[in-house]
Amino acid sequence: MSGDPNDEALGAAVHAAFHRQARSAPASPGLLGAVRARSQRRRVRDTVASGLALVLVVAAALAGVWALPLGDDRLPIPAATPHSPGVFAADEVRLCLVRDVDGLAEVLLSARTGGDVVRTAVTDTAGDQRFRVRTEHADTYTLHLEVLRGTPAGQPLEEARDVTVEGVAGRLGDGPRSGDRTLYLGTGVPGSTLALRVEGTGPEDARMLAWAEKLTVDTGRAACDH
Amino acid sequence: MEFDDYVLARGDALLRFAYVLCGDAHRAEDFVQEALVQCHRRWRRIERERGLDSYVRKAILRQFLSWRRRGAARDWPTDRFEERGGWDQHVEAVAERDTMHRLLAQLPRRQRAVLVLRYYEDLPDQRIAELLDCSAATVRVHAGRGLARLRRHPDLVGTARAEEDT
Repeated sequence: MSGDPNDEALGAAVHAAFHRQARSAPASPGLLGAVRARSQRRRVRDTVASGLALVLVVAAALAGVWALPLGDDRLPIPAATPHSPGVFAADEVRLCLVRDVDGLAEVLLSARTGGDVVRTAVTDTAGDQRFRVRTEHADTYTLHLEVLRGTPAGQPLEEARDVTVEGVAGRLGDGPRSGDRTLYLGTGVPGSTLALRVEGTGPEDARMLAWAEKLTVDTGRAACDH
Repeated sequence: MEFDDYVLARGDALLRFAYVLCGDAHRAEDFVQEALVQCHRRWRRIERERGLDSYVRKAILRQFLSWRRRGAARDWPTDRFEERGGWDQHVEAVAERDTMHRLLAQLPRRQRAVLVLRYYEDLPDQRIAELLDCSAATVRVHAGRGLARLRRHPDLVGTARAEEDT
């Protein structure tokens, strides 16, 4: 802290205000019980999710066997590509934006899909402040998740409409050249924007927005280390 | 230290910390519960490798700063009128809230977090930087901007002087 008497007086006032406020804080009786109950609910939810994932895997395996031909050549018929890409089907996706003095330095992704955790770290190798975080292919479309320089309002879009996701403003429209359906959202880090782009015949707008609601953006890497 | 013992011993302090950060009793309880649930699963490892208090506080800070919760945390909450016991008590309560309290509530969350860690928790900038995953210089920038914003407000000059006098 500086030695400026004005700063010291202001610091003292802030200190006093916080301590006054702390006196109105809730008390902790029942906290342990509430934490245990919440932890138990979370464990049950995770167990159910893992069980469902297992059922789906078994069902997919059975479907693969079912698709085998019964003819003489015994050549397997290729199973259908998965319809729903991994991270984009995840229950919870976390992005961590790591900054250094020059701006955004690294973007980390952490997603929980069923019982598995997907983790990716992306640096700006091209030096254009464009972090290509994730690309996933479905049968009729490809999804791209990127973090870009600029604000959602500054991104080029055609026939764009304003949207709000969990209180965060964004824009949804068509890419000017590609025509890709694109959702731009603020990240909470000044000068950076989240882009979710669909190439091909993709999910409806409502599904893109629903997926964006699952997304949590943090600054720093700690939140993605878990 | 066992998880239960830690919650019983430190629960009040954690709730106060969360409450000073967000200013809402229900949200403070939610932050603390969620942070403790996250820590519960890997309690032994946290205790062995990182230090419990520091880790739990960091988890609470993450809840507070999380993007997903931004919309909810932006609005400074006031408890519902009925819960405060009627008009007279409400007027008294409002009168007790000084200008400083109101202005602190309007700060951006990261600036507020830095000020809480510096002036409520009395932590040095380097320690704050570790908790917020940024550099000490960034902490100083946030603190400087927060204080400058407070200092610019004409009502606060008197408050700061009054604090100095007492």
